Amino acid sequence: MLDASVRVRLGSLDLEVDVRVGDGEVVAVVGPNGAGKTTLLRCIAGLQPLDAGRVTVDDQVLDDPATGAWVTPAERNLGVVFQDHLLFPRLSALDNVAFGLRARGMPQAEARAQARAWLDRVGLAAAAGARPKALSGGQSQRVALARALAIEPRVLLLDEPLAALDVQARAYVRDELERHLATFPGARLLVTHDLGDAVALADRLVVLEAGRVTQAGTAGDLAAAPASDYVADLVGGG
Amino acid sequence: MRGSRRPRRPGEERPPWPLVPFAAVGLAFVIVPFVALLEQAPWSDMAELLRDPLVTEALRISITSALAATGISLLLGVPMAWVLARTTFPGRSLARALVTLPMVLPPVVGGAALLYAFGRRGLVGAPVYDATGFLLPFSIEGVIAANAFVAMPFLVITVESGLRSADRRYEEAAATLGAGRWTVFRRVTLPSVMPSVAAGAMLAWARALGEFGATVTFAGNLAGRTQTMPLAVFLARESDRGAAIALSLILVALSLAVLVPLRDRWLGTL
Repeated sequence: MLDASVRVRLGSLDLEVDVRVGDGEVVAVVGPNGAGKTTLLRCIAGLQPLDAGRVTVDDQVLDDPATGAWVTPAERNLGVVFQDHLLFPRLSALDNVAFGLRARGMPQAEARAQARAWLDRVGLAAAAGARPKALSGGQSQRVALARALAIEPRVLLLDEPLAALDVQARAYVRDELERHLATFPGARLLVTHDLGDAVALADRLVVLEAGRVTQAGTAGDLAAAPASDYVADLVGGG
Repeated sequence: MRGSRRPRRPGEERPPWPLVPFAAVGLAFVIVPFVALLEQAPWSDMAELLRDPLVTEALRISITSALAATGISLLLGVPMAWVLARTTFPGRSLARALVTLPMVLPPVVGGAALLYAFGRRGLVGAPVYDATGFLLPFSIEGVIAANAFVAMPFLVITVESGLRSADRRYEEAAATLGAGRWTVFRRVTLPSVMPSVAAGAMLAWARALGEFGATVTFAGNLAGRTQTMPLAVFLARESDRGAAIALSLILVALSLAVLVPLRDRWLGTL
């Protein structure tokens, strides 16, 4: 269960968002570039401290400037899939997936065994020894997902999960991603600028424009009564 | 001017003609001394010269002290580079200035300063001598210290620049996966700046190998103990020309062995 009240000012961005994602839910934050979607994700992950507000996961307060509560990103146990995947270039796919386990002190052999199982789950057991630059966009995205899932996080955060893919890979990878997301029991929050991705992957949408939530609900809710020009374009254009 | 209309790609450009004579003189100025070394070298005696104890001792001392100085530069320099690149603390600008001071300071002054710090009556040297009888100057350890003193800034500068331009997003990704700061440094940061570290180490080694002023001031010129190759060349240049030239050629060869691989890559960023 993720409960985030984010108030942060960064450059020209003034972000004020409340979002709540229950276990088993998938919520997509949709908005144009510069709306603050990635900043929101970074605040939840602990890569950006809040100016005000609070981030709580399963009743543990991760960031609360008012009380001084702060948990470092390394201690938050949240799985993050980054927009450019950010696989460590000098490690094989297997060692990438094993990274989080080894960082927790697991011996290499055991970490690699578990990593192999995760790679198998995303259908990439054969690519275990490959370096990231030898992988296709869709493959590296799956490795990044496996890497995040391997630490058995409480919450999964995805930043524009399909943005780094070419058009041909997108539809196929989106279906795959939907399947893999469905097997994760915790709260899942993804940010995207693409409504199609949001509708395919999420139960609920939150529209973020210029740092503020302009509308929230299902795709049907948005289509029925768009609250802004952006939302109207979003649902009208399809 | 035949061919003056042919389109030129970058890298094929013709220099503006006034620059040409100056560039030519500059090149000659730099090349002629090396040509002279090669021309004056007693090639027929070379094999024997290379067995001369003056040469072999100096070579041994130079290589071991340069390697040790490079090792010290890595051990102390990489952490310093990290602190300078990534943290802010009061006096950081001053710290950076002091760390790079040996690069511009006349080496003899550096050697003198080392003497005042670590010599028999030095700030640190005096209590150490009284307690243990150990003296840094005029020993091989002194050579290493003098070499490290002048070489370390090159490594620090190179690694600091590499750290500044490293992609922090990978370190963030590592943090979200649960890696503490030491793990992030060991498994993500350091591997990503390894080219800078290697280049910095090569520059430090080359600088240490060529060091003269600080070494002769702090460690002296004791044949077989602290007489490095540059010192031996200085001493032998009139009395034993053949040995001096042999040593010079070795030094030139070693320096080229370092600089040629580095070429466009790092010298351009210094």
